[in-house]
Amino acid sequence: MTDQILIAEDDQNVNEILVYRLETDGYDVVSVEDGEACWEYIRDAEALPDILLLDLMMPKIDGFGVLRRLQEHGLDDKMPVIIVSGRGLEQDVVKGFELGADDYVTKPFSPSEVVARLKRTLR
Amino acid sequence: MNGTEEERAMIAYEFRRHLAVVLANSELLLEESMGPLTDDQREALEEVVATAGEVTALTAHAFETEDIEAVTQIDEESIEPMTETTSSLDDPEEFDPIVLTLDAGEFTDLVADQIERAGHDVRVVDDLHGLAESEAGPSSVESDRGEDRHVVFDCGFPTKRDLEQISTLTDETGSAGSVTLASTVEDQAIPSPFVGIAGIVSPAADEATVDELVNEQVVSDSTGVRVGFTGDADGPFAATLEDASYPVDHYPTTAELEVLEAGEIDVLFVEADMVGEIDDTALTRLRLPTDTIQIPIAIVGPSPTNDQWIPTCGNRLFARKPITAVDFAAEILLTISMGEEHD
Repeated sequence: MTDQILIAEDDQNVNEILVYRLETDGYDVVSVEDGEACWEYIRDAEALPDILLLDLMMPKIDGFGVLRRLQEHGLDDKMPVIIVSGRGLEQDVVKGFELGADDYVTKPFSPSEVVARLKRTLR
Repeated sequence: MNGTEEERAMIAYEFRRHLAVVLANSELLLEESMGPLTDDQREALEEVVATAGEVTALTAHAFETEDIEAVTQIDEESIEPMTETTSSLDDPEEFDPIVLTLDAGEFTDLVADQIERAGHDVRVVDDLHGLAESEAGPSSVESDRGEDRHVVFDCGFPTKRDLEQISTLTDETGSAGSVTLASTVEDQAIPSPFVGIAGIVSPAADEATVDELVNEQVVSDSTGVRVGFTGDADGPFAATLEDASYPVDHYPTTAELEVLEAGEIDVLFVEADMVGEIDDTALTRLRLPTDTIQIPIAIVGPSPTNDQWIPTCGNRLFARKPITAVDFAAEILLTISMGEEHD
């Protein structure tokens, strides 16, 4: 069965690049452009996505807010999360891991690296 | 360079956000997943990647260092030379081939890909032995023997034997290319490499060198520095620390390092002789961003060059965050180009 990837990224260009690359690699990809849509998709999904690629700086609810909601609803250990963000400061990284993220990729990223880390996290 | 840390973080964020689009689209094009490229188109894209890599490295140095003092220092020592090196990077072959002597693995391949996309000739070998074999031929790189090449050596947590091997390499390289030291470690809990050591200091380093590396290279807030030391308490380096009037705590074994608590020390010096006897996990723990303790580690051992202090590539940048292939490749190229400028 094909793994489903949920991408939450408000930058349309980056979002399109990730969708293109992951679909080319055969993944089932769903993308949203703000944190609220991300949370609503997860909350209402019949089955959780296999992994979430999560931007931090997004409208409505930021990436940390999404991670907090996952924790509050006991979903943080049911779906791996890779943060993909232009925020690379120590406190952002630490906060991301403390809120349950499994990996942290800073922009600019190589699409190949995102795919490699995604595969490793899914293993 | 002024502004609060948050303001600088936002500038870095904006640069990185736009660079993501440039580099990721370039990669997709270079992979020809959107159609074949002509040689001229490939060359033009390689220039785009190389330039975007430079901007990535500059962004990290200018906006993501920890304090204004560090930024000022980088402004003087790093950014100005980059203006001069831009022309050098326009001719990637000047630095080639670049030999990555890193632990073979997915991350190494990603770094190599990234450097290749910037137009460089890259070879990856598993270790120093692999490098010697590849240059002894018979192989496709036989013709490179004795020619200039740049070796990027990942020493991890180096033992004394590792340092002696690097010395052999630098001896051989003396008139042919240069060596850049890197240090990465991986932890199973988090699928990203982190910086291992901050650098290597000679046991015979004088007090001024130790002061400089503690105050400028390793510890961002140097007031009231407390030093940890694992090694011969009666040896020359312990005496130098004592002369420098640092309060020194001794951690002779893994057991003591395992119970080291946040804030107890600001920097840890470990003699290379001891590295093999200490569980790597105890040292790795001091470098993880998820841990409350993030302590710079300097290895005290035979200097592979004549320098009393050799910082590792990106030691300030990567100490507190996972390393991505794009950032690591950008930092390697910056380090090599700056080294060339200074030669």
